[in-house]
Amino acid sequence: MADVIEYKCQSCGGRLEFDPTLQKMKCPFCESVFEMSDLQSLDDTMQGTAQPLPGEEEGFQQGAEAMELSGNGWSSGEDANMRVYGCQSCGAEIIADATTGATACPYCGNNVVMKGQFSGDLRPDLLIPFKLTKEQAVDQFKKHINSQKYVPKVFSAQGHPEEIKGVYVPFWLYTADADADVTYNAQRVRSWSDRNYNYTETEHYHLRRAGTIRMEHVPVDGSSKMADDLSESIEPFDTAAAVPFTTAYLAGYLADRYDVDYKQCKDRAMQRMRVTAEESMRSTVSGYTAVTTASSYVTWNKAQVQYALFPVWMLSTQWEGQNYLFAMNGQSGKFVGNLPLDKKALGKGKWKFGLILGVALFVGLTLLQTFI
Amino acid sequence: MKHQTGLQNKKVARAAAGLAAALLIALTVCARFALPVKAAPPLLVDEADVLTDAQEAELNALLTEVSNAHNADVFVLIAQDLGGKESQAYADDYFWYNGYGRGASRSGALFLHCPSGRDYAFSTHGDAALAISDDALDDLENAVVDCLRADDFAGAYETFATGCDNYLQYMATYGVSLAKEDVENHPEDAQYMFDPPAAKLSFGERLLESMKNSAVFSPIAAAIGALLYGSSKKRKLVSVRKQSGAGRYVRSSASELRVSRDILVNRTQSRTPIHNNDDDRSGGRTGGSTSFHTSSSGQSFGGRSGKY
Repeated sequence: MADVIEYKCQSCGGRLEFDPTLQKMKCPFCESVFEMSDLQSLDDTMQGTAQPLPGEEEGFQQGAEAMELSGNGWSSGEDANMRVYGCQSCGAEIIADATTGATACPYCGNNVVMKGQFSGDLRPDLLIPFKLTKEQAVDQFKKHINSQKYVPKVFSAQGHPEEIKGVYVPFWLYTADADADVTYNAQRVRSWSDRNYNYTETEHYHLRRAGTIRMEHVPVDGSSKMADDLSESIEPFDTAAAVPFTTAYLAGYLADRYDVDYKQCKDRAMQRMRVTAEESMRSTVSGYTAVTTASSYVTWNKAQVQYALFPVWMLSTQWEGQNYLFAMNGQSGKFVGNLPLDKKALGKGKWKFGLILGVALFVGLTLLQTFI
Repeated sequence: MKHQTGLQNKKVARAAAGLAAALLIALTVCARFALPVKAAPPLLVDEADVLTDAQEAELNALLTEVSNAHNADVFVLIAQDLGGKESQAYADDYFWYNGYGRGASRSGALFLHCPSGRDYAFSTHGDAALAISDDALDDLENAVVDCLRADDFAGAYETFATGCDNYLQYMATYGVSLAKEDVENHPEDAQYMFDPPAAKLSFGERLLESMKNSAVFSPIAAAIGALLYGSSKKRKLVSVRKQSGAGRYVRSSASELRVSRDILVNRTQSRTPIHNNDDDRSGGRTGGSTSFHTSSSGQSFGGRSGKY
């Protein structure tokens, strides 16, 4: 049995891709469109166990032997992180990362999904399909670069936005009830006067707030290749638009399965949820001059975790020896990525600003002091 | 009849003698138990003998006139030696323990001069301390020390007496103590000072002064502004940030606040007195302030000291 799934057009045999505009599978050659449900049967092959199929193991070993014979031997560490698959269209060997779940054949461009990565226990619970196309992603990239002053002009020319890639990033989604019990010390100060005295009265209070805050689908990315700050920057994803996982959605995109499991990601999710639980309690305290937290306890109930794939357009570019990573939320279009600084241009800008401000202050202050 | 008249005369004489005796006894008893009348302390004490008799007499007359006019002991002590004490402490203690000061507040002002150590001190108490403000003391000190440095001791003491007279008169007239700002705004008040501040500048002078101040301040503020501008532009280039919380994922319909309790633990109150100005008398003057210190007697004194 083949270790990859390939989606072929039933009309012309061309490779199918998921079209974000139509939210259906489309053949770019004959323009035929297919419903997602038509391709459901291919997913029946994904109901196996998580153990690699014999064919896969053989493929990995065979691939390793072939490379050694040619004199390009890999170290044992590299072996463990690589897999070799066979393209069913052209027969080429596809060498991929151990966590790669979907890719394109580098020889014939055929879209392939690696069965073993999303089968059995590794099968995602949810997937949010891409809503924005590559063209829209490229547009957003250009807008992002041009939105800020003091980005080197050469940077946008060298950005290669056409190399932007659609990736399904694995996320763990945490849902829980946070039971928070928080106490505060608070003060209320009142002042008034009569003919003879100024009075100040200070009241000291002890406050308690306790309640339940339910938070659903708090995401933490499950891929060590994706920086946490980058994946959190493109939030939020609207899980109401999520669909049950079907491999067909992956056609035309890259996809990775998780390599950081939910237990390792749990701490980050709980840290964020704790902050929100405490902020929610604090927001119910009002009418005081000063408030400080005396104690805070948070416990968790009805905790659940789900595995999901979320769409992200990603682009990596180099500038003066530094790597710049850009990401766009493939559902909402939110674009993030740190931009390099044109120091000379900023220096000129500061001088200009300082000069204008200095003249304005000089005139303003002189008039103020003279007439008041 | 003559016999009876003679008897009557003897009776009257005896009665008169008895009455006189009784009166004498009564007066003697009263004199024995009457409260002694205390002598007022001298307003000029020249232990170092620096003044001539004529100068002493003239100064005494001036000090007496000023003291009586304002119901305050305005007096001068020229000490031979301070016995190792600080001049301010010596002056405060001399004032208090020798019974100086008039009225309920023991109002008075002392100028202490010790020629041997070139020390001087001003010590004020009661209503006089409130009238002789810090600005007044600045004016007085400058004028008196100029005289001391010129070895014109009599001139220094006379200046002290005249100055106190001016400041006490100012308080009596306007109900507030002297302040430099008031003198700037009321040029007629300059007569109360030895060295009054310059009157307010003309428009042209004010403009020039403003431009000088602005020329110093504006570049500094502009530099700070430019730095902040640069930081803000740099910050905008960074869009990759971790989220602090998970507020977006709260399901409000499934969240609830079960306990909300506010308990009053205690209540404290403080008050400070308001200083009232009599606006009608002061003519819009705000008045000065006096800095007080506590002497070894536990009393609050105004004043200052130094060496010339």
